[in-house]
Amino acid sequence: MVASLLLLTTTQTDLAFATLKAATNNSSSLNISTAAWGAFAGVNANAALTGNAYGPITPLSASVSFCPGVPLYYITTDGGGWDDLGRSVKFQSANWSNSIAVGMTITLNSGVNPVVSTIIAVNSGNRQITFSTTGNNPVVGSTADNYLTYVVGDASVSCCVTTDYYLTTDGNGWSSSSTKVGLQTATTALAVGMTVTGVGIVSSGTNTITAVDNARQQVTLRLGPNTSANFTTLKFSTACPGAGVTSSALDGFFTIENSGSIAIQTLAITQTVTVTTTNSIKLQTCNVGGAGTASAAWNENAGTCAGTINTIMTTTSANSPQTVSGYSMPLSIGGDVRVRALSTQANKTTTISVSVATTNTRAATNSIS
Amino acid sequence: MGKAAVLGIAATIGIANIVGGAGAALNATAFNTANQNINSGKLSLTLSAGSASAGFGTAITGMKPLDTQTRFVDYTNDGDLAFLTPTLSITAYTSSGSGGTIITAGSADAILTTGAAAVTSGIRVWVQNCAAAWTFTAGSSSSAASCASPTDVISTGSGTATVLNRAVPIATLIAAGGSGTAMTNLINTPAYVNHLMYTLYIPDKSETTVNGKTNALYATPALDPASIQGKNAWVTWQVEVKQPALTTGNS
Repeated sequence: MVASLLLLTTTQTDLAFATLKAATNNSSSLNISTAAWGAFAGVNANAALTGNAYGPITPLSASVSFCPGVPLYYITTDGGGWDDLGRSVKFQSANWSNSIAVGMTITLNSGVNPVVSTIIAVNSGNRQITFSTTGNNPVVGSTADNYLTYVVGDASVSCCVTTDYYLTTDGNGWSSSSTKVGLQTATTALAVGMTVTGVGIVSSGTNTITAVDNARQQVTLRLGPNTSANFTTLKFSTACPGAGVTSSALDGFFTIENSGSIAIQTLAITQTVTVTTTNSIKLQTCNVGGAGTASAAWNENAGTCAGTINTIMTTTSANSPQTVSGYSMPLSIGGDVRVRALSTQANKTTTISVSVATTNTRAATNSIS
Repeated sequence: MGKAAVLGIAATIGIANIVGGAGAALNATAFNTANQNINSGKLSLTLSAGSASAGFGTAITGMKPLDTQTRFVDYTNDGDLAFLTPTLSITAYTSSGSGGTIITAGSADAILTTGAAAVTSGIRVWVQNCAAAWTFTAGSSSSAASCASPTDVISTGSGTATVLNRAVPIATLIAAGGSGTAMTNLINTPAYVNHLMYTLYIPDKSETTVNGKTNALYATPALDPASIQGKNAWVTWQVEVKQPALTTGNS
């Protein structure tokens, strides 16, 4: 802008009327804006879903049935049984370990002094479970084949009934050389993973049903070492561990999404759970490496991760609500990550809250242009 | 015309000369043979983006606390008068163009530029002058612009020469209104180019967004007047100068 005016001021009076001014400005205003930072945790892939982005997340696959009062887990005979000093015992069936979880209450029956204890560790690889003990344990394992019994579980589940199924008579019964056998009566109670026992069959973790054909009244078996005798009757443990063996995951998946306009480096997650004492819900991510590395793919049906599972937190009733701050979760603008909530207890919910502070965003920049 | 008439006129002229020579002095006239040039001065100031700089022409977006953004603007005295009393007046609008209205204190975007909250948390600016064009790398996010002997034009005037110490809240400058804020260390001679560097800065402010909100009352941080997040302003920067002092010439 230019201002020009005749400059012939010769008196103070003239000055009052003729001061020159010149001004200049940017003809187009300069837009200045700030970023926004934040994240949503949603119950589905659309993390920004309005209204229920923070609703309770229910673990999906409640497929393990916990049956009350039925002895299922026989301690492997080690010559000394189990005692409270050892605390760790082995059980007979490897498959059963899939339906044993930390926090389950068990009863060790031995003579007249049953002991109630809690599983504090499960090692599926060597079929070993570790109990907590109270020190008030009169049991000294002098006899073999003590057994453990669930005393808690879902009482509404009608299961854990061991039933005899008679094989179709073909004149020769059934031999271990065959894998498929017919049943005399139709049933829909059999499921893959059920254990199989019978006179002459050596107890083994591999004695299970591997396929069921209800239309043909036929089941396919996988058996371990057996005697050479033919069998006419087999015992199937119905329903429990049964179908529960096929999946031990009590999980649900949700998305955390960067809903702001600036990159996020870290964030804080708070989890509130409703599990009972001794149970827990974990929050986990699937990455190519450690926490903060690129995401790897979850198989949400199988509950498996193509990379490394990183546990953000393990929340129990004792530490709920639990907050983990500064968790490394780099998210570009609009970026998201799938998170698994893994529960040790069926049909429980967890509530997630996600916080992003100024310091959780990208580092401050000094831009010159 | 006949001969008799011509003689009559000539006689009359001769009589008149005799009468005049008797009552008036001779006139003598002196004048400059070359015209004297008299002209008015011109007071003029123009701005342009500094060399290799976006100047005020490119938006500054996505700032967060502790971010700085630096722009270069050249001011040229292209008049023929030395100017005096340069001032900077800033106005912040809600949008660009004619549809924008001036941002008022308390409005959703005010914390960035206007009002008491903006003095604490809003944009701050530090303006420096350099005798020569600033040396810098456009697009750089780490190196600083350099100048042999920079001088402060708009500054707090205190503390070591860092943007944290010297930057002035833009809200303070806006509050000065049309009279503007005095600019120092500008060279006022005609044809001189003042190379100004504007460094914009947002002071530290800790904000936590929980489940997408900074305040349960507002759906987004941008709608929360207390949040620095998601705010917008369109800013004009006007520099005004005045005529030099009166002079009385004797020569």
